[in-house]
Amino acid sequence: MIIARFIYDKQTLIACSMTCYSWYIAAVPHLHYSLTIQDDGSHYWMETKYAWPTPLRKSYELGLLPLVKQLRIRPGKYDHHEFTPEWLGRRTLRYFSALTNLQELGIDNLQLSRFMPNIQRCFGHFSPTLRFLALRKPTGSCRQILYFIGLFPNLQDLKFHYSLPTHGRGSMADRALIPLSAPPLRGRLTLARFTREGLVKDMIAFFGGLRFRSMDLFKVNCVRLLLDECRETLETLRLYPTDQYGEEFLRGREEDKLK
Amino acid sequence: MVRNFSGGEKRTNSSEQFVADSHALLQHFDLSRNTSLRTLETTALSIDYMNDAASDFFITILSSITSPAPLDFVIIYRHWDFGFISNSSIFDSGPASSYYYPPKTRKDNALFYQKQFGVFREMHRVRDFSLVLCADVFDSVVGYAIGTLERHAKAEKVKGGLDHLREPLVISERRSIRTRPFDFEPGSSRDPFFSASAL
Repeated sequence: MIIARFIYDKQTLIACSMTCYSWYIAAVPHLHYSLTIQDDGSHYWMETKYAWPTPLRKSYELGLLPLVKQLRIRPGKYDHHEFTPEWLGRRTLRYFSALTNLQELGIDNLQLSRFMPNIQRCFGHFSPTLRFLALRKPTGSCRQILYFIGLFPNLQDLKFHYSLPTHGRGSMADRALIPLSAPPLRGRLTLARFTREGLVKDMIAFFGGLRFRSMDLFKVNCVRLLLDECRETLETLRLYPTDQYGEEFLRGREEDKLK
Repeated sequence: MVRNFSGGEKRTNSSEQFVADSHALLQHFDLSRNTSLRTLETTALSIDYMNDAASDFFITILSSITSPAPLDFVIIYRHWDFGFISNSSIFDSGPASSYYYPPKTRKDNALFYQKQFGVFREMHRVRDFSLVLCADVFDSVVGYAIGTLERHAKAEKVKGGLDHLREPLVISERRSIRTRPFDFEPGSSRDPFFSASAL
């Protein structure tokens, strides 16, 4: 009960974990709940796939990865830093396989086409436990994204975040991509600056409709389709008619206020 | 009865007629077929502008709801709505890194809430709902935020400004996933700029 009050306060959690062994046991799952791996450029002299997963390596060596519930992969600070298979060495994949309780996965600038057709080898480890997938500016055809979503049969919540209107072009080869599962997707759908109506249509076709209970829609071009599809399940709808930032980065809004 | 963005009204009997003269937007947000909606949410910033587009947008949406189920209309107030701006911008990192920029005088502030209640009353005329004012703010300013919202709601009630609108419920609740300030990386002295919980 005491620890629960501090789960968002890292310094206090660290102090709690050093009090005694029983406090350590109570505090440590909260301390290692979320993990971000990103390339901050400090290992520029090393090959990318060896340099960037340092947090993963450290947690792996200490046996902490099973405690991680949220993982965010950021290939770099800027949009042109794309996440491609070149980032994943054999060692990183071994670390991934130790994330046995991962529930939430976020990936920035995922280049799905580059991972095809062996994407399951890279992310299949997360299939049994993943509940929430957040993709920020992913690229790839609708079928490729659909295939990726289908890797996670227990997925409930989904988030797509774009900065600009985006349309993926599929190839003939993509048509052979059939999702390996139809995730339930009964939780929350968050879309920001989303213009890929084709993807929503494909999800409806391949997953047997949509059943989200909650939707957070910001600058979305297929609202009608989504509302119709979820007309019997949608309980909570969030809209931002004149709010120019939505729920996304608060930075822009706050900086504007400062000006 | 459906209001369109130009402020006029026209009679409508079916969802097929639910078309605003010059605003295709209305076609997108028709909720007449929805049978399960219980909560409609928006941010205070969406009401903040006090322009016709914002209020007419919600009036139109509310008027399209045909389900008789009770509806909560939740207005989410974030820390900047009370003049607080965090140092780290993205993360709710507590009092040490939050600044206070009183954006308005007390009089202006009261006027702001009065106008907002005016919008809520107008919305309530087209569809009954329970108004919920939700403070989704730093832990350190929850008391201040709740107090501010309660004070203005009470002032409105005393003036009789709530009309048929029931007294709003004022709550403090995370409407979005709570962000952990930073990840903990064993053996590292630095924190990553992004927390994984800011997915």
